[in-house]
Amino acid sequence: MRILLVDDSPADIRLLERAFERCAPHIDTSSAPDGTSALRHLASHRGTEQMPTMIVLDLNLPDLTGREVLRQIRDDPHARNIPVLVLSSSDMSFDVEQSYAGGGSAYVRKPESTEDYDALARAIDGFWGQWVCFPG
Amino acid sequence: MPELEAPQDSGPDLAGSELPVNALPAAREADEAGSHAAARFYRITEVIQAGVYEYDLRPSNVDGVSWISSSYVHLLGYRPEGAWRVAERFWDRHVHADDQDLVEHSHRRFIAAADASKTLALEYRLLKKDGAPIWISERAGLVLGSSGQPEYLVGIIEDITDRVERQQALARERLLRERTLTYMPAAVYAKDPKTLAFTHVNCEAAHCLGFAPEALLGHRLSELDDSDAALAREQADRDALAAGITLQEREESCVIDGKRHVFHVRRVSLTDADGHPEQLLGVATDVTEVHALRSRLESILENVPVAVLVLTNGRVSFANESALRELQYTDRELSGLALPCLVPGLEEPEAFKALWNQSGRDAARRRHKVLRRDGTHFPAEVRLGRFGNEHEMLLCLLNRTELERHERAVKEQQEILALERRRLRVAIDSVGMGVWDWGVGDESVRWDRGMRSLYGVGGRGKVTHASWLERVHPFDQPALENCLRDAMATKARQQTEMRVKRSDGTERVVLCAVQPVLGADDKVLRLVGVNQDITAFKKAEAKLARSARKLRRLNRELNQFTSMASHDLRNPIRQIRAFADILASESKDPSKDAEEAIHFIKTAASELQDLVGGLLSLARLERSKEEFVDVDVGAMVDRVVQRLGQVIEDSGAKVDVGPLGHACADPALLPQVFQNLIQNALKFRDEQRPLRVEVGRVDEGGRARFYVSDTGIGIAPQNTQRIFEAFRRAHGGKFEGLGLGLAMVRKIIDLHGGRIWVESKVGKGSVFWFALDEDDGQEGSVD
Repeated sequence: MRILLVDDSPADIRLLERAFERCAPHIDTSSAPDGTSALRHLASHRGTEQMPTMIVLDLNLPDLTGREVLRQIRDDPHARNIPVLVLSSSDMSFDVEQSYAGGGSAYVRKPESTEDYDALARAIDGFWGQWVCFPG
Repeated sequence: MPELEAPQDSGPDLAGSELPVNALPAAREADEAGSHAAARFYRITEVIQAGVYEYDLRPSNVDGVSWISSSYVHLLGYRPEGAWRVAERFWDRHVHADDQDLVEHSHRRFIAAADASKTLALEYRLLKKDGAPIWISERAGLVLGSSGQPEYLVGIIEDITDRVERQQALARERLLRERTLTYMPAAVYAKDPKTLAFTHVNCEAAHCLGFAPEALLGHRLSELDDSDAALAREQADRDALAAGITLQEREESCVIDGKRHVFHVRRVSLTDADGHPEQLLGVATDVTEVHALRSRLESILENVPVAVLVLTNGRVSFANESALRELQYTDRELSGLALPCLVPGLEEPEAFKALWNQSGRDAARRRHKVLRRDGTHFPAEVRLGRFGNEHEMLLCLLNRTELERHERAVKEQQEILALERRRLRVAIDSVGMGVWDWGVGDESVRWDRGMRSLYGVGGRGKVTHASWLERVHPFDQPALENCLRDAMATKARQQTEMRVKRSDGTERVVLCAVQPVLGADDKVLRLVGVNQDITAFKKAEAKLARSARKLRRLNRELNQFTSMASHDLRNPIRQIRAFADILASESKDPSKDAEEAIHFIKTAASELQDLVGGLLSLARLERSKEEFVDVDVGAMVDRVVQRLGQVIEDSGAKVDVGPLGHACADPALLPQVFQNLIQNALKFRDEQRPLRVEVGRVDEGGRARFYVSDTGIGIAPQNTQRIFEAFRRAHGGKFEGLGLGLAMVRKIIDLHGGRIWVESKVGKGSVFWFALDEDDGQEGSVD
């Protein structure tokens, strides 16, 4: 399982990577600091072994908004089936509704503590890694 | 001329006379004849002034000369007096041409009879000297000679002109009377009093009875017609005879040519000098039309809704239904009543005379009080008019009670209307409104004072449609034109806004409203409307729009801030906490100072997170939708108390909830008010005393006021206002919390348009009051 982490905050990237290292070391993570890099990453690894099988997407990005990135992923025939977990610090219902309407697979608020980060990493591994069958 | 001309002065003028005898006075002749007897006879005739003649019939009188006395000469108009001898032809001239045959024939036959015992009596006309005819009566006799032959014809004449003329006049009069009787339009008949047979019937009478006049004469009516009507008529004749000379009048009807006629019949019994009936005279006039008119008149009088009375010699002789009803009398009671009993004002002779003198063709009118039988009275218009003869008058009483009530009501309405008009004028003037009025097809538009002042047009100059349009801003002229046209087409009110140029060059914004006025045929008769100066309003509106735009921008910015706070403020705090966790768990055997530092970092981050969270909730309240519905406050507070169950139990407080009823509020926000207030009470409790919290409601002047009271530590007077400010905590660091609870409560109450205040005593407790639907007064009060 390969996860692409899209977040402009290196601290958040680090906290997520740390949680995956600690709780699901078999998951391969890579990261992109903005929307453009994320889309380029997907385009460059299209059809290869390195193509992510899941994307964790922040909404608040410096260039494209998270919703725009999500829209482009869902419009891309090679990436449209990749599950996208929206991870945002916003608890506004507007953001939640828009994320699901735009094709988000799940919406999770950013954890407040390291315990919560660990729990999230375990849940992603347990549900998405073990139960969901990713398309080839 | 073979005739004797009468001498003018001194005896007969014989010059040129063809007469065979001397025209000497006969008396002289007689004297000369020496006939003493004759002389005596002539003398007698002169003394008694008799017109006498003597005609000598002897053969010796070959010229037929006769002698006439001086009275005879005088009668014929000749002068001087004296007896004359006249020739035969004298008579041709003086006997009236129509009577000459009669005279000659009678004389000749009388003479031929030669009977001295007989007297000839004749009446005929003589012509006087001037040709004027006179009637004379002649009596003559014969003097016979010894042989029995007539020798003289002597006669005497008498002037009977006066008598004859009287007789002729009488005859003419009789004829006229008979003709009149025969052809007059009234039926006239005469009957023999004994047999009752007709002795005279005129044309009309015969026509009415249905017989020819000849058929009736000499017969009784009952012989010819045995109908009941005929017998009744004959009986009436008998009654009239029995009553003597008294005039009998009655009305009878009969059918003529299939139509029923009514006759007024008068019968008179004429008697002779001894008082015996001589003749029965009947005269009948057709009064059918009069009857019809009278019945029509009576019907009208009975049915008019006006009280009508007829006064005979000032007393009531007739009153119609309306009069009886209006005056509340019975017919019998009213009959004979004097006028002043009904109309007291008219008892003064002067008033009556004045009223009567006014009444010519139109009846005089005057207002009077009219008395009813029970003594009450009503105001009436009294009309008095001539009716029939001078003894009779027509009195009409028009009850004015209702009319006067209506008049008063109309007057009141008019006064109200005038007042309303004045008020409207004041209102129109005070709001700077102008009224205009334009009749369809009229050249000019009527502008009132307000319109002229609005457009800055002085004076009373004429305003036309074109001149009005000129004063409107060129860009807005089509709008005005469309507005007027649409009002005509749709027959409904239209309005438009337009700019107008005043005479002083300034521009005003005007609201022009048009209302079409429709006629009975649903056509637009005129357009009326108002122009209102809305310049100030438009300026205010523009200012308001600017404010609204600014407000929208600010709101947008606030939202962006909220969003920013949500993401950008909370994120670093969250990260600080997470990394502090890592630091705490990863560092092997940290120093005591480092451990403390990590603890403070975590605490500060946690507080900062709460602060930001609270700020966000407060900001979000501003964006609530403000949907107020009917809320069961009691049930809602019960749920709040239930939710706080554990906290209440932990604090050892007792919470009482009284009846709270319903209120109009936001169902999502109102629970927060009660929750925060109860939490506030629980938080600021006095540990030394048991806490008692009471939630209740008081209705004052129809307005609900809710309260949450506690027996807590209380609030110092200087803090009763500040406690409602955000992040303001009255009790410093002794109690936990951000100080946002009461700020949110006040915000929610503000959103409802209500107010909140607190009554408190330090060491005793506080009462938080709030009302949801009032937005006045102070925000707090201090006990």
